[in-house]
Amino acid sequence: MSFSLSVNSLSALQAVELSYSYNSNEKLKFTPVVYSNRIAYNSYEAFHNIKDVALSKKNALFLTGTKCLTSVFEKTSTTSTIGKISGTIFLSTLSGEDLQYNGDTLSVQLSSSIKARITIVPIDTDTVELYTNNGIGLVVDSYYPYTVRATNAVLSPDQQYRRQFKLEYINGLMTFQTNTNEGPRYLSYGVDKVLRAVGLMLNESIINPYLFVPTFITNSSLTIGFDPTSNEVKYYNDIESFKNRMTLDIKEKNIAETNLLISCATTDMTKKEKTNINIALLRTNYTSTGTYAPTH
Amino acid sequence: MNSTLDLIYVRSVPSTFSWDDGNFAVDTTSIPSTQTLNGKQLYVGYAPITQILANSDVYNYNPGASYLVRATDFGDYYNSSTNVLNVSGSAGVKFRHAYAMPGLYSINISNAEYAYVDSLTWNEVTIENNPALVWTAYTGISATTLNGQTIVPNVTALITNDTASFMISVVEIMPTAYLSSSISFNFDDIIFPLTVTLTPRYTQTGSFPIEKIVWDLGDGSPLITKTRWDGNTGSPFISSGALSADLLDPRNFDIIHTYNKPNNSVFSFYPSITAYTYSTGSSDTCSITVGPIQSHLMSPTTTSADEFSLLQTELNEDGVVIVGQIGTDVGIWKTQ
Repeated sequence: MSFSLSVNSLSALQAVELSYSYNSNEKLKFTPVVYSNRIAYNSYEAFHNIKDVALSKKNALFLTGTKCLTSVFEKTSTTSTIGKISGTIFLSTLSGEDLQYNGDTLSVQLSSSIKARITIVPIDTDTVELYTNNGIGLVVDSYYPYTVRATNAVLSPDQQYRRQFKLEYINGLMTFQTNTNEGPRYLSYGVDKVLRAVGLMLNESIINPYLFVPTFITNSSLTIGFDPTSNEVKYYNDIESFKNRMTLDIKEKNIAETNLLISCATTDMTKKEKTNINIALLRTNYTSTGTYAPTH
Repeated sequence: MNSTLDLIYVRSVPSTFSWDDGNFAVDTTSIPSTQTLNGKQLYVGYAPITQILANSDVYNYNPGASYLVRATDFGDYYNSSTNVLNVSGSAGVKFRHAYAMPGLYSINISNAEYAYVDSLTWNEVTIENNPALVWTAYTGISATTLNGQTIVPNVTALITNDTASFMISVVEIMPTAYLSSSISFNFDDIIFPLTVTLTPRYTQTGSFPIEKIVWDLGDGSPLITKTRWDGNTGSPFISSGALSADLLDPRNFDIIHTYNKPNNSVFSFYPSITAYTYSTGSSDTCSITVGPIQSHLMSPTTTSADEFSLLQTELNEDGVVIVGQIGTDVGIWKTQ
């Protein structure tokens, strides 16, 4: 019987790439580590502080420490706030005055009986158009002092910027920036309370405030994507109230870190570019009698 | 009536002004007008303070004049509380105004001389230059009816009106963004994964304070925004307190970021910041180089964190699977 002996250098070692596919290709968190002598491996978050590893009968088994799936998978969910999604709002100032229509202009007033309902329509990443209750667009005058008017006027392509606003919504506060002949300016109001692009704030010196407080009539945000976590969820399953007995309202939600058993076929590792793995959470929510195990 | 309407001076902060310096004193030298715009003298000053002092003097009154109105419109809606001023009286008047925002402003000053006209009746009124017309309506004047005649009392008539106009251009001094890192100057210390502190603290203000800094860490991670009023002083920011007199300033917030070796052959990153000013949203961007970053040398004798030990191997028909331990981590390799 003859055999050949092949000697591989360290650089012939290829890092194994793992993947996990359930609903879609959920991305595992990992960092490629490359050493200067060209050996490289993929450092998976799931394998940090691992407890045990075994290669046995064409299977690879990895027992991790206690982890939340948040640390194992990349979070791919993104939340789009108003400005990226459409919505309708009321606006008020930091001093509690409401924005209301005043003919074809808008002004801020205390105890306004009819608040201006403004609909935000995104047209670009952070650029929006604003519309009144009646679907009339808000347009900034081309000339100083840049009064904001509700008008159905048709603007030529080079004037479209007058109906476009850069919206920023941070920490419950909203600003609207528009372009003018003199550069970007914020929508604000002066002594006469009329809405114009004349915002003037300098740190704590607020001459014409341009921060507005929105009250949402529609949803303010929308989250899309994969948000991995290991939650133990308790539903209302006792007689707390008849209402809750009829719904699936969550009573309690706790993050439960568990050991994970990660397994895959070793033949896949050598055969395929990416190796599909299975992840099993090594924890049960049920007691030996089959009832829910309380966490407290 | 003869009158004098002129600008005594136009002064502003110097072109080297920085909001951070806290010195808001204007230059005592008046800015000369070196050009005209729309037939008006144009003066150029700098934000956030360009001051004007206008003078209105009247002499040789019309004997029939009842009163004078000196009016000025600074054309400044950013500061609408003192934008339009009307002053009565015959004494000389000086109007002061300070412009904060950049822009082109038109200043109009006027002296108007008015006379009271005694009570008159409809049939006494004729239309100047066209007597055939009959005055049949009026607005804005309270009137009474006496013996079937409508009487309009205390009407005032403009006798003379002198006006003067000037233009003021207020220019913004732009901010200058600076970004620096804690990266070592010793090339051997710059190794993946590299954790660096990035700080915008040396960013300089111009006319206006910094309201917002947008971070691009240069490794494909999402943009990060720090706004003065966002209330976020925690992750991912580290408060450096570099500007201790103003702890809300976004330049106080550093970011500690770890650069990992990407799959491609990138060994350097170019993080950048864009600093935006209050009110005008003017901005400046800068970037720095983080790198070139080296990789570790894997060896059993290097640091314990990189110490490698073989755990297990398995041979199958397509190659060998190798599992090894590196520090507290596990690596999986294959040969084909």
